[in-house]
Amino acid sequence: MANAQYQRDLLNESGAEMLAICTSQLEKAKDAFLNHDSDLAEEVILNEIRVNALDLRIEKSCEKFLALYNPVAIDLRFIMAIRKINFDLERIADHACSISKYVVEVDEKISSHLFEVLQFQKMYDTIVKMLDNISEAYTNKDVKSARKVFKKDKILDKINTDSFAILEIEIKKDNNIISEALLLFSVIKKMERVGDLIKNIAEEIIFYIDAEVLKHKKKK
Amino acid sequence: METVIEQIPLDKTIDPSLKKKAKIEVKDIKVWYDDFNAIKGIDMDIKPNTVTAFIGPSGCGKSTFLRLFNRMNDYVESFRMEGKIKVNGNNIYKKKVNVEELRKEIGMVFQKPNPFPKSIFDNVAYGLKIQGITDKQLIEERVIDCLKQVALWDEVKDDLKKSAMALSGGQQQRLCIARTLAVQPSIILMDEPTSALDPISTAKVEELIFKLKEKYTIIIVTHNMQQASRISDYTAFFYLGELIEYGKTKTIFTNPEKQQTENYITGRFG
Repeated sequence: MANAQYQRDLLNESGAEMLAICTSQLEKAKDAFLNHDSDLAEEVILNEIRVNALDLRIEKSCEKFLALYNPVAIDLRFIMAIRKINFDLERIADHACSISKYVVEVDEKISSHLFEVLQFQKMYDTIVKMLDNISEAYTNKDVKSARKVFKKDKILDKINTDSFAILEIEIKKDNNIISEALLLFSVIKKMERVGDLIKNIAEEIIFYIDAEVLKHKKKK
Repeated sequence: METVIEQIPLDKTIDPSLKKKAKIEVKDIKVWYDDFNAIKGIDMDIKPNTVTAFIGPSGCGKSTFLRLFNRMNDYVESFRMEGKIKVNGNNIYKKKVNVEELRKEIGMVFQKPNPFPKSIFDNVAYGLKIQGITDKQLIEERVIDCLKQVALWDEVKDDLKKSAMALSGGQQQRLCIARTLAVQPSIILMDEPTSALDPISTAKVEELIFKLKEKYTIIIVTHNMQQASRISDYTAFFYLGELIEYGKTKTIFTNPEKQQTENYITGRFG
């Protein structure tokens, strides 16, 4: 069983690596978008290859672990959780990549006024904090840190819900901003989705550590 | 003699719908071999028509515990026990209990297939003949029925007079199970019944166990964790003569309550 433990440790390290890469991708995408930095955006797009390669490596390792070691109890929950976490992280990196593509494709810088009224910075900061919580929870098997993301996700939901009315007002004031507004609306949707994916990861970490299924349940 | 379990009359037609429900209750069982305390006070209820797996490292007392149910330990000179084992409310360790009758009700299958050096037919008919049954038609019907129950009939129907020793290990083990079924027990004890078998024979015996629980209460000792999780409804984990955890197999193998259980089933024990 020593080999199984070794394989599990390797998989755990790969999971941590995936978490670090995807967090970095999202932070870079944020900076690229807020500062309209197309060089940084290009870097995120290029790094997507690394994310995909790591995603496949984790998938293969999970398959191998399941086939060779017949995991049960905490080992089984770990494999089930890491597969889902990996899937969610890859989706987060996909969102980072598509936000970066906007930066490359759109020539004009978005007005800071729109960022401000839509609470873009707050939304990004909240996501970064959520990812910090997840990283802490994953590394230290700390359920408390994982639970912190549920409340924060509500902030993202609120910003997303409010954005429609805010943009409506802004467009009424100046209808030259329609394409800008549509782009921002789309990015806000992506960020809200990232929040949901982080929430899913938190649920998986709690399942792995405490064997508690939180999916589709009201979170405390 | 006290009847432990209501006997089913040995009529000529064997009705497969006849099911003997055997409920087992174990109360504070303690076992010693001389000064060695092999079992240190175990309580356990086993439901009828279920498969219960006993798991645990070698020397943990699981086989000793299993052998209590058909009083196999009575043969061991240094054996001494306290506590009660009740089958359908009757204490099987009462003085009045006829042990031979008890073993008809509580059959046992061992680790190594142990057919008698007789024909396939005679192996299955053996238990009936020593019960004094002479009705050839009844014996024949019972032998065929039991061989069918263990899914051996199609493989041996043309060779019933051949020696059982000529069968493969997997076939011999299924024959031994058929021999156990012939006397119509209600409980079947299995002590690592597949440890000497190849994967295909193991799969056949496992499939058979799964099917047999419709009519019998089965208790199996196994060192194979995957086997316990595949075939049993309940699992009991023993360690150093104690019952550490006993519960639904699904729970034991996904989220055991005790750390010791988790360490054992995930191979981190020691």
